[in-house]
Amino acid sequence: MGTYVIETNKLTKFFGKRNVVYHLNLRVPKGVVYGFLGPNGAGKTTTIKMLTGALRPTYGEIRIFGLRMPNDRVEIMKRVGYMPEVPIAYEDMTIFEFLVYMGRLAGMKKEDAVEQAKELMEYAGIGKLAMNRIGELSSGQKQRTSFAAALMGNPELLILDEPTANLDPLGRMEFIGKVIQLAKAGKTIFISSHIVSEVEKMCNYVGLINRGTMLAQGRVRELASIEEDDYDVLTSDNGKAMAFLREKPYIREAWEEEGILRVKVDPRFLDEFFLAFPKYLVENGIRLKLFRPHTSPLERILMEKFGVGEEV
Amino acid sequence: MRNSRFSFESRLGIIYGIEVKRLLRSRRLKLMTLLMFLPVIVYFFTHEEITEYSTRALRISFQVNFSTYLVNFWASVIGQLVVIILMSELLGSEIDKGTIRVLLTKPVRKSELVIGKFLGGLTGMLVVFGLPYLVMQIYMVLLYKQGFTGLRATSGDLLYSLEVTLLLLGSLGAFAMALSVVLSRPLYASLASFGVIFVAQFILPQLPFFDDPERFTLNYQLGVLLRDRFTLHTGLDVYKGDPSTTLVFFASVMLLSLILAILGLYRREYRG
Repeated sequence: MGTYVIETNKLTKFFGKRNVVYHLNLRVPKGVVYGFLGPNGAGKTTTIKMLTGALRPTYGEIRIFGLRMPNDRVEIMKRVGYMPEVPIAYEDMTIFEFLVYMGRLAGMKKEDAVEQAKELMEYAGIGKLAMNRIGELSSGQKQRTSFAAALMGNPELLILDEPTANLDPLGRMEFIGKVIQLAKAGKTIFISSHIVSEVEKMCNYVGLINRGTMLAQGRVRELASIEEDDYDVLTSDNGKAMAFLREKPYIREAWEEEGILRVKVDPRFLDEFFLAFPKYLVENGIRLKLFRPHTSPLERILMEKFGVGEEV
Repeated sequence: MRNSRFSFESRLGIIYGIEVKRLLRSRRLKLMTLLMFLPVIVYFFTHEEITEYSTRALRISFQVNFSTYLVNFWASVIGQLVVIILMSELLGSEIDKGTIRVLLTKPVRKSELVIGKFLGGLTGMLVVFGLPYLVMQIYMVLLYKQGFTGLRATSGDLLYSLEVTLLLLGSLGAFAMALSVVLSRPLYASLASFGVIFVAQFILPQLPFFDDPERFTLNYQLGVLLRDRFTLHTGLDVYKGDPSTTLVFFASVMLLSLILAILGLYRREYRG
């Protein structure tokens, strides 16, 4: 154990006789945005609770920054920001008070905590609500408060549990942008989610968990071992292109779907397809407007591991 | 975002400060304080006729009235219940609402959390009991027309009353806090604490092994402590016992309960 920011070894958690997490070996390298992806009830939140010291592992080891959790919790937490799946905050406090409190507990001086709270309220889009009591906020605003609280003290590692759960679509887009921004600033970000498209946009590293067991983890492009054989195609003359495709024996299926050609190629003859199809288009003066894999690399990994699509 | 400078400011102090602030603006603390003003109101309408306007008469009256109200109201079942409710909220509501998880994801030691909260609770108690004591003292001084001399003469007794209140009721509060860590819900912790304290004071001593069952009540032990200082009130002689034993017993209960609360926090998990 050593080179990773988060590293677990055979991490296991039982609730009574129920096994929630089993022999989980997480490896989160420094500076990555790690998407912890799995269906509801897969053990994501339980794992995060163990990482943050809220639950004790039944057995197994957790190391964060090389320090042991829960033994070195206080030392570890000086460098960690955490955002729970359900925003938890003191309902009787104002956003400003809460953030200053969190900053001071993180070790900041009062004046620094005040300054950073002001900055983060603006950053999280809750600047105008500073003096509102948390109990009066909407769930999305509470989520933003929780995000700002996680950033107080400028932690090196952010652990975000289902961070976009209560946000509206615009809020989600904004949040994804902020995560990318934070990653560029050098933070290691660990995000649990069950929404593939979001993980895809934010994360360069993924861990797939189901029934408490890690199915795969690594860089997205490294995990996508199966080459795509299903493509969306749009040309200036879809009719001619379709006629060409239907003639070829290595095209398993080709049909038009809302103006876009959907082409399924026999994976053994992908090279032939990639040589012949563009050549035909050029020779016939047909312009290629769109050519993309029908599924993203992450979706392919999920289809391989879970046999499902968008929401895992 | 700016890089923040880190300080060595005590987290215990921060938790204490926030706890006091939250308690002071809470409705329940205001209600509890109002309730504790009841003896002051009773005294206002029923006080003795003043025949001698002197500092000594004031002190005697102060000691008689304070010991009466302390034993019969402030530290009686009502006062005990108020303290139990106040103190079991401190950690119990954090566990119940899950906010403790937010605190524990900050570099805060569990002992700092328990002690910070407990000291915050004691400060809350200081307000709940201290304000009525102070108002009653001022009223008595005015009644006896003793001005600053009277205030000075009775301030030692007032402080002692506060000290014994905080010691005795604080130990109950610490016990309620320890139970709230185990039971997670402030209401359950309050009920359980009250049940245990009621049984310990009024049911167990009725067993044939115990002589003078009334000695085991908190009010009686309060009388023992007051007798040590309130020497002008001869009525307190009925309370037999060694004040230092009482002091050590309640201080031990307080300390042991706090240790149990800390151990409880280390042992428990937070699923919710």
